[in-house]
Amino acid sequence: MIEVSNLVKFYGDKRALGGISFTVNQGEILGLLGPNGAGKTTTMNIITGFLSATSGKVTINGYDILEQPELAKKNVGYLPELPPLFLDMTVYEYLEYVSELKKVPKAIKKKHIAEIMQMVHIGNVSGRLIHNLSKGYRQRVGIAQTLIGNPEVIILDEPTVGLDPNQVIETRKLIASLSKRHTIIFSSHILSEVQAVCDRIIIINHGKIVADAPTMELSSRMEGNTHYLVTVEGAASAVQMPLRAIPGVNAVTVLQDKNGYLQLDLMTNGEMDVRKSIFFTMAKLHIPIIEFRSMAPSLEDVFTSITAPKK
Amino acid sequence: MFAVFKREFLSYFRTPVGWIAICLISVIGGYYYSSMLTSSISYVNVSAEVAYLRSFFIILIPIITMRLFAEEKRNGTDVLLYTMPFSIKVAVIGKFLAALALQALMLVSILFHMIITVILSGYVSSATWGAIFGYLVLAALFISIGMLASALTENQIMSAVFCFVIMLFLSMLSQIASSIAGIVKAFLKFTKLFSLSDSTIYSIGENIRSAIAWFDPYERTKCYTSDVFKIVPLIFCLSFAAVFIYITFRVLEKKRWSQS
Repeated sequence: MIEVSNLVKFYGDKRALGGISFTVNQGEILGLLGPNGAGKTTTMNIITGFLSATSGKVTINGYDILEQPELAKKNVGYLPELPPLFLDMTVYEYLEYVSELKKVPKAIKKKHIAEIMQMVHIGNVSGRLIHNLSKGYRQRVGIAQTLIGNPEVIILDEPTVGLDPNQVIETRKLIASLSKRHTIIFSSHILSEVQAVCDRIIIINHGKIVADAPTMELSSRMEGNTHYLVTVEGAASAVQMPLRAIPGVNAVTVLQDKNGYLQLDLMTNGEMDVRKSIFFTMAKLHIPIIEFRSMAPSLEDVFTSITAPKK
Repeated sequence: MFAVFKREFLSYFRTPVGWIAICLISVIGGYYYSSMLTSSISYVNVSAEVAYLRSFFIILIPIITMRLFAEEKRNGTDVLLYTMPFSIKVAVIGKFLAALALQALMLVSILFHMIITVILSGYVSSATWGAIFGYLVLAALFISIGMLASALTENQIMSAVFCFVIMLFLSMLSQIASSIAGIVKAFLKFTKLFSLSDSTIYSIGENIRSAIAWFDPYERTKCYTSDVFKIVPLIFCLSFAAVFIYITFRVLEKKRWSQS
């Protein structure tokens, strides 16, 4: 279990963290979400002992990261945004080095490394130089490094950055599979990614927690106003009024009117499913719908919806 | 500590650095030794060869120490050292010992020269072992300086230049001491400040010279090549090395508090 209480960090005069507190329970996958520069990496660096906080306290399984660093760090595996890989070593040499650093007993070292390589599917490249691996494989080696010594807590800082879509899906699956045995803190600035992987989300902005809730709860809060992008073949004057009249539609904004095609942003209150009504209204008017899709809220939308005062 | 030592030591041979350093010392030492063998006016003195090799510290030490921490910082691998369940002190000492071990390995050609000397019915005096000992003690001091330079920057070239400048300063310390003493003596003589006698001015100058020259590590460890064992140079080098190692540790520890 991780307990973070009132964490403050200053870089010179600039405040990076302004009193962050949260707890992560055993077996939980916690997502740290926030825009670049929000304080996610700083928080993770402090939890792992890479950085020291200006004030505040971090305990991992009851061990204070500053007062009992060796005991606390034994329980943590950390993958920073840039994986700490030695490009001149082979995958096996590297994992052997990390296991020596983590004081894995000699008797079980080989078996332990083999198990981890199998778990993250890098057994086929164990003898290759890390320098010659693709970014996806390097990321997996980085994740393998965090698993050495079987730490209870795994901290992953934006582990899917720079990966292609297939690699992103594989990495997400891998993280999900790790949650069976480990407590995971996972950071990203991509909302859908955190939603797909995490049980609980903490949103950080300007060094402060602006939301802390289970993923499902937060998603429903975000979806208070649902936006639909609708493209129809027709004139604005013929379309706008009937759409506005549909119960549940709050606003209709014309995004584009070009070559007879009209692109609209429909804002609905999210409480009613208005999709069928939109379809039948347009059908009654003999106006063909060319495109109809739900627009996922951007990170900015999420912040706006979360930080906006409740009615 | 052994893990850091092993990784660091082997990494010298994964890059050309270790091989080049050993080749360089072997070629220079070999040239000096063959000159002694073929010279008609000289005799084979392996300790002199070791003493001669010390003058190449100024090139070798910056090369072998520049990457110790600078490279880790640049590649982001230093995060491993900070987040593993041991103190950063352990990493500092492991890296220091790895660089020292490479220095010791460089002297392997000296062993061959000693064997050849004995085979050719020559004489290898205890001064040779003393010279090797002095070489390593001096290397320990300079490696600690180079390691500190590496901890201060992310740029390996900057680290090497910084180490080179310090070593150049140290190698010229006796000349610098004499120059400063000369300037002080001239100043006191011509300004007639305090109305001091010539002998007093001379004595002040000499005291200043010897006070500054006291810090010259080359001079301090010279005795080992002359078959004389003194404890003071050993304490001098090791204690200064310990100070620089400690400062390196503090610099790295400070990074945890101040980095952005």
